[in-house]
Amino acid sequence: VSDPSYAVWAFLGLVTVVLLIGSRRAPGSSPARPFVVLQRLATGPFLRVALVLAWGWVGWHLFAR
Amino acid sequence: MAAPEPAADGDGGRQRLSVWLPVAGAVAYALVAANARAFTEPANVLTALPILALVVLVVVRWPLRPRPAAPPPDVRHPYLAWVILFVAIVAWELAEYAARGSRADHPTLSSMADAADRYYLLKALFIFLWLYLGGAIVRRGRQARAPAPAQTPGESP
Repeated sequence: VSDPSYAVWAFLGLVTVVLLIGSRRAPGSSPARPFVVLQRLATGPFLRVALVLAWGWVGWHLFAR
Repeated sequence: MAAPEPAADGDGGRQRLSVWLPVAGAVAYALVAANARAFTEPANVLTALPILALVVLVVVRWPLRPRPAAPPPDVRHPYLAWVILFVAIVAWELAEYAARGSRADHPTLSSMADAADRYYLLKALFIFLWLYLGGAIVRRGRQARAPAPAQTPGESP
């Protein structure tokens, strides 16, 4: 088992949690809340296509292949 | 400002039902789909169905020409931290994927998810979260519709 690899993943997970907590401080705070980010992605003319493709690919990759 | 009128019991019940019914459906679907093993026909079908459903929903419900959601007011770079995190995760995923050695030495998100998928309830949880995210994508994109023009008091609907 590679400890440095898992340590980096754990660090990235920790940063994710910190951002999630930070986004809940106040409405309109920075960083934006996850659903605000999702809304921005889902309303971009090109980003929304990439979002749907990415969602489908993740599901297929993880559960079907 | 007048306080909003409380929703009638019927409306409240319908509203609750419209929230909890899809969640219950997603939980049930996840529990069923988690039984299917990857690389089998049932897994293909059970994964393809939500993908097809989402494609149909976004075609039907999303506006043809969306207006990108405005960033929160008075906030500088509201998305920057998330973009940096996303880039860092993708970069590390690619570095681990390309690294020489076993997958145990260089785990990717996929290999870690595969390890977790051996546990039925964890796999069901992942499928539920994936379905929930799909529902959120449809809902968030739908809110991009241009607001209806304001009616004057005497105007009939």
